[in-house]
Amino acid sequence: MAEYKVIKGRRVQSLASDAPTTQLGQVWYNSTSGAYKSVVGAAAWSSGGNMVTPSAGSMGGAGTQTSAIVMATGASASSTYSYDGSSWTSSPSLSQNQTIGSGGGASNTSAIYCGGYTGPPAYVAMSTVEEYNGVAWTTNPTGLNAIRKGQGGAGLTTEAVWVAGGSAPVTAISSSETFNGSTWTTSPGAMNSGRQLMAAAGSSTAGVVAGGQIPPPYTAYALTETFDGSSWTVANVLNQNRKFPRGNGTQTAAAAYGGNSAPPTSIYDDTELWDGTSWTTSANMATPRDQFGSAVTATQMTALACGGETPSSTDATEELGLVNTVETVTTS
Amino acid sequence: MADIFNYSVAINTGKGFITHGDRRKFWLRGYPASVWVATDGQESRLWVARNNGTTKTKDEAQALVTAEVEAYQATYDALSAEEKEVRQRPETVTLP
Repeated sequence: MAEYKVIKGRRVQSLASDAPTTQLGQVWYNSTSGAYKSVVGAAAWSSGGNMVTPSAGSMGGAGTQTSAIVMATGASASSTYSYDGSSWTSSPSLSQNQTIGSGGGASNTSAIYCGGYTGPPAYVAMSTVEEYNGVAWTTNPTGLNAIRKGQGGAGLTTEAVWVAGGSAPVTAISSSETFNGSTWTTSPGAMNSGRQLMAAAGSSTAGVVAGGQIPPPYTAYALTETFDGSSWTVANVLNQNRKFPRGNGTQTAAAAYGGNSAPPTSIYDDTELWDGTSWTTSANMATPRDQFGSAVTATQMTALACGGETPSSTDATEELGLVNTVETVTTS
Repeated sequence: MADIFNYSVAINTGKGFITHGDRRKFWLRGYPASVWVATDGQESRLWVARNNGTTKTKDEAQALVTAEVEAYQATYDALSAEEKEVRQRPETVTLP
């Protein structure tokens, strides 16, 4: 077996106590505990700034952990809120009440909100698409080709947003659509399992959806499907059946977190990380939640979870990040 | 035998309320009514103190959570059929 010095070109230091956590990847031998140690990056959720008001309702989301916007926040279904990585502020309202639609876009000044239903008092599924330029929301002249609510959707920019699945009025939809900034195109291939209330991440040519439910009877699923812009492929399932999860990242590095189970309802706090092939369980949020918002454009390890039901509505925000920590190294 | 968990009520003040470092030091989970359950130890007790939390017994904490969940169940029961389609009736929460 090769020695560490041969592999790395240097010896392992022997220290009486653990080294500082500032040097990611540093390896040493702790002579007090008699164990090899290293600094590794571990995922953890921490508190972000509280939302303006407790909010739930499967918000649409766009942007990143430091420049996010969530739309159709349930408590007031036309309201939107922006986040700068520290605090939330009220943003201009959508043109009408909407809920359980999907979002996309790069930041809190460039976002899009698609579909959903009209909310109180009508509850009619919609094809409406609204775009935000940092100043105001405007209704896009071209709506979705199909009315849908509860669909998955994401998009790194407002010119490359996609939506998939959903339901209308209670029948599951398997079609998907991509946006080029002016018109929507229905993809040739349909999802293998039409459903709603999934986690979604990625671009209009490399997307991924996971979890969700099929109405009725509203059972939670662990199904994962990937999208290449025209067709859908079934992939390895989540470790946990979940509906109402939220997601972010890319088709090869995504995160899905929270959500709930089929009745009897358990609300989840856990996170699963997708590497393009399979899901791995990762850090837990401090507050289990479903029907919450996220920043869908954020990278895998900079997820944002805001609001939601715990089951009462919460204003709490959490931010995923990597924290350096000392771990014992297994040697053979 | 020492308690495995400690129970507290603390208002989430936002950024800094729970840090990444806190999450690496002890297990913590939030519940309705601003109830927090953490693995008992010096680090988690310091976290409660840092956030001006109030320590509760398990029974006290459970009563607070149950009252809030029951209130939310009543709210859910009053929803329209359309609203219930995309929401679940909250189940009773039992603290660990």
